[in-house]
Amino acid sequence: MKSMHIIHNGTVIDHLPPGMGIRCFELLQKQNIGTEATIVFMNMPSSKCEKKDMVKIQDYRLDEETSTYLSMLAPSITINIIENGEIVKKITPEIPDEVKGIVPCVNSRCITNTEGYPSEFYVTSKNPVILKCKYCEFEFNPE
Amino acid sequence: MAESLKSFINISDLTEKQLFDLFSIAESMEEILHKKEPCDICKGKILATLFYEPSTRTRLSFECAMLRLGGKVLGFSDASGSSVSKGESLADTIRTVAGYSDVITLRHPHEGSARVATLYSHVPIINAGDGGHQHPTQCLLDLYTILKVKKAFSGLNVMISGDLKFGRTTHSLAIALGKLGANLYFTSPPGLEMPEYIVHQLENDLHVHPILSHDLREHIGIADVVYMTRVQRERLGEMEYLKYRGSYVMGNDTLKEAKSDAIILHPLPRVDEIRPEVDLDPRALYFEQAYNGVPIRMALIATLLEVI
Repeated sequence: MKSMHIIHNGTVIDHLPPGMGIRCFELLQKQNIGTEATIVFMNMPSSKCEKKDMVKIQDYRLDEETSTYLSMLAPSITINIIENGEIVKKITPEIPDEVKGIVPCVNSRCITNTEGYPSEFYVTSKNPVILKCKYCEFEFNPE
Repeated sequence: MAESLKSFINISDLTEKQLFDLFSIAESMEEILHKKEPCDICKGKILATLFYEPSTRTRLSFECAMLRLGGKVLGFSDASGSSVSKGESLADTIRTVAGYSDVITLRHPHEGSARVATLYSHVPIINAGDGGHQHPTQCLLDLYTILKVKKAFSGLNVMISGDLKFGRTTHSLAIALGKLGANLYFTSPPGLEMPEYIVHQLENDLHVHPILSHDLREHIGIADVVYMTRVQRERLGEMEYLKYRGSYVMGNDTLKEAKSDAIILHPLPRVDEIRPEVDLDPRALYFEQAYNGVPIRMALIATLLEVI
């Protein structure tokens, strides 16, 4: 197992496209991380692609729903769960065929944006990700 | 019908067989209408019409259809007179009215509202227009009118014109005609083009490639069907509406360029996009089209209630 020098317990979100690191951090803040120590690396050299961003969060374990959400924004990401300085789990999130509730429908005229009805989408394309609302059928890229 | 229909929300909910079965039932309903004799196909059944937005033809033709079938109707045509004005949610209204009726017709300003209503109802829901999204029963009567005159859909050149962005009737119609093998020509002012999701669905799922234009006269000479629509004032700001108002007007001068056996349709109401002079032309069929809303809605109600 590769040693991680920066955090001993937590989550590393790797292979984010350049520019997505800050965006990912902001989204996670909105979702559920609060005061955990977080480091955002930008424009790091990468063997897979020319450059990448990376986010490391101390004492935080990314849940499945948030992993799915992030994978829709950046399909190339990998997520490493770190315990005692070691990678104990490596996740390459799969974009599901359908998603429920993770993002709102961007169509302001959609019924799901009123009265608190849960949003639901078909994933009509996985790269780039295109979601189609099950109710109003509006299609959009969640990025 | 081989496959039973639970609700009718989107024209895509129907298989081709179900669609043609409805046309066939509508023909038999026309016979009932012509006889003007009492009919008890829906005796003891109640249709609820919940119209959160104004309507003349859709609501009245649904009510007429149910009354002609021997059933009864209840509902509202102005949400301000119902508990909606007190803040009642769509879900609660649907749950309540489902207990009072056997089938619910819903017109609502929000897109996707009819699909949401199906989640809270144990009786069939009919989408009578959900915002700028779909108006599938208008689509049924449009198709029925075309079939009665042209006898088939495959290979027909259909020009759909006007406000294609917010004109929900055009969305349902484009998908249905694409499935049925018609050639599609979309003509709209810049800014009111057909939504991308409809064009994508046609191109990617149905392998139909509509031809887009901003000029009403460009394809009128080859059209077998010219489907005109008004600019949807209620979904535009006033300044935007004024920008688009009168951008497409069909008069006798434009009609001169159309085929002698073309038909001119319009879901109505019209504003200024078809001049009254056109009404006298035998190709203008929009009032016959409006009439056809009754037999096709009779067919739909009877099918959903499984009484035929």
